[in-house]
Amino acid sequence: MNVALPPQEPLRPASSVMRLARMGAMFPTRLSFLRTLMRKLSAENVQVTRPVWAMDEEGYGHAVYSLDLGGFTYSLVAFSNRLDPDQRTDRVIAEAWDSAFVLYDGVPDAAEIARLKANAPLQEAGRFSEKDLVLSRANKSVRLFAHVVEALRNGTEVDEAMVARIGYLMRTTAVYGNGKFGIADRELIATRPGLNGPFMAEMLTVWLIRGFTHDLVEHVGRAELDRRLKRHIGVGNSTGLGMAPFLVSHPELLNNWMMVRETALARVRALPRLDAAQTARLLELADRVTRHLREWIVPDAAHQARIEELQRDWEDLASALPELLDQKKPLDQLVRVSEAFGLDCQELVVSLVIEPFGDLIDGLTECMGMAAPVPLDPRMDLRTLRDLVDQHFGWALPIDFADEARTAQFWYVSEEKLEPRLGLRHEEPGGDLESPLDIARQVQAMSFDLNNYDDTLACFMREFPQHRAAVQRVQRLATHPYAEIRDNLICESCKPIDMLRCKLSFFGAAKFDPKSDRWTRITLAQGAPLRDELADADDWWLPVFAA
Amino acid sequence: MSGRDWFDRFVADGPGYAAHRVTLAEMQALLLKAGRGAGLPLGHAQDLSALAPLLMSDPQLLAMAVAALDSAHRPARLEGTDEHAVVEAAEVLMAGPVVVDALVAGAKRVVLHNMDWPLLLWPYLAHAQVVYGQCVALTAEGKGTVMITPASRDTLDTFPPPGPVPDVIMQRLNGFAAKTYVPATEASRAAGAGAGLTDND
Repeated sequence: MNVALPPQEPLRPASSVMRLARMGAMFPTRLSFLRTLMRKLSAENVQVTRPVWAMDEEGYGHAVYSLDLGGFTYSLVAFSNRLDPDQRTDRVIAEAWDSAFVLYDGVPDAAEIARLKANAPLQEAGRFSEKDLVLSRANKSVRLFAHVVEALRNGTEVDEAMVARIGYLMRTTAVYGNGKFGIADRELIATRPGLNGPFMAEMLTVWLIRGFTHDLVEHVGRAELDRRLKRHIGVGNSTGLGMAPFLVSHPELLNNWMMVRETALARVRALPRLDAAQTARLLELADRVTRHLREWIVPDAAHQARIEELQRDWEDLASALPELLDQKKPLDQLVRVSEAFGLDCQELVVSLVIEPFGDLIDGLTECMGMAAPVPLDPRMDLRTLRDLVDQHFGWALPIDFADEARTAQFWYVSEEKLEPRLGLRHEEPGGDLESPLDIARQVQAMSFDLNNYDDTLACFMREFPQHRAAVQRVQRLATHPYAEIRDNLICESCKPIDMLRCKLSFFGAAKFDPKSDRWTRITLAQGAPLRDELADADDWWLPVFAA
Repeated sequence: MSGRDWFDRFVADGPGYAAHRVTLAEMQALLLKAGRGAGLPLGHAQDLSALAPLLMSDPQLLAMAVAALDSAHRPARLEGTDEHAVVEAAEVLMAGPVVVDALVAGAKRVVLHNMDWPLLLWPYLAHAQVVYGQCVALTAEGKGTVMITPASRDTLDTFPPPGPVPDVIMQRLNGFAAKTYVPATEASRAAGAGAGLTDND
């Protein structure tokens, strides 16, 4: 059978796409996992029920939400607890939270709810079963939750500016999947319709949590919240270093995410002309971008300055948009023109141009999951391996690792919480125990020995077993060019926040609110359909407050 | 206690070990960290981690892998020719991947002498069959000596599904893994992931 693939322009090279600074400028797209999940829920006409709501007047207790998806039933089991303010922290070292959640495989009976009640509030200190698919917890945004409760109780107006500024009633501080703390291994759900894409179970959990926060505030406030406000209330998330090494330890997955996004871009760039409806849609979205950027306000002065620079870039580019869209290969032209602006603007344009073309690109999301890891090939001849090093790691070879600035940081796992952290090698102890995220250094060392070797690759790996992992990483790039971040992850200038933003943008996060180079708050599912709005589930890219 | 002594005690104390369910992801992550903590090269630790579902099928097999971590991890020495290779004094965690490489690269026969844990070749070869489609025959030639030859069909015994993991194995693995952890200092706690001590905003 012949399958005609849509025409496409050349992919952007990995040497550009996989630089940390560009990855740290990414925006959510219609390919982001939350968007994909919403389309799946909509296609199946999913109905969410709430069979259990056992909350006291102050909003403490538990609830269960259930839905059928792809022939299976799943339930979010939510526990709401009283929390002393001095225990409320976003950090992973926390030991108590306002709420705890489990995405459960099926509908839990009373005994299972009791089991989860004993374990879920403990989070990492609890132990879970194969019936538990995702584990999460969240803390209230105390200001907004209290304000909304007060307004609902008093029948006064909710401060819309506060809703716009904060954007969520609760923020999660971890969403665990894939076998952590005894919960089910991902392979249990990897082929189930609806949950078979990357992070689908986690995104389903997040979306259900968002609905729970709406219900909770209405319960405590004893009145209904305006639907328009609810739609603009997403769920927050606070994310730190724990997420960053994932992109290095899952190279095939990173490649697949990036490859799909770049292929989508290449397809829309090949469109010869836009019809009137497509042009109108893009102009409508461009107007939304302007409003979104205006509503994206963060406390950090440096990041706010970056947003304002993006606003200026966007203003310049948007003014030329009608003209740019009215020519041959208009989206290719637009992307080319955007290259004169900053990286934030360039990546914003990437997200914009693919947004209206779901028919052309949504099917690509089927390729974003994890395929089998690329096996090491001991038959490869050394010249081919050297060529791959030159082609894909040429940037790493000249780095002077004797220069302290090039090795200034080291990644490690903390004994205290078994979480990834980042240390200063030349100021703190522990550098000798670093986690192997020094990919550039590993490949450079391998390349040095490889260039002085003349036998088979199998012999090389036998004589230099310390290079085995680096050989595999280089080989993988022959078929997975977007599998590696092309920057030195231990140098002084490496900013983990760039890795976080890349991954979070694939989740569908917006309103990045960095608190340092190492952690950020974000908003998920803002503007997403509510539980009873799934029929209209796909137009919430870069959410803005509805007028 | 040496790996061999630990294994002997494990066998003597069994088979009624206290055991608990461990997820595949947990075991993969733990084997990788334990391998690194025990001084295995990263690539070899990754290869060991990939065997998790097979090793979890038999507590004794997993215990052998844990005992094998307590070795010097010397590079495997191959003699003979590429087609007919001989490995002397083979430490399986170093030699396993090397043997697989040799077979995938076309070796017609690999003989290993004085192996520390010969049974552990079984999961390495079974995994390689799945990954590379390279079937092999495994023949014991006497104590500590094994011969491997390519085969036209799968001749290896199949592995049962993963089962509960004895607590003593988890303790030993966690001990190796802990050698990769960095103790916290006040400075590292303060830097940490960066969030505030409380977040009541």
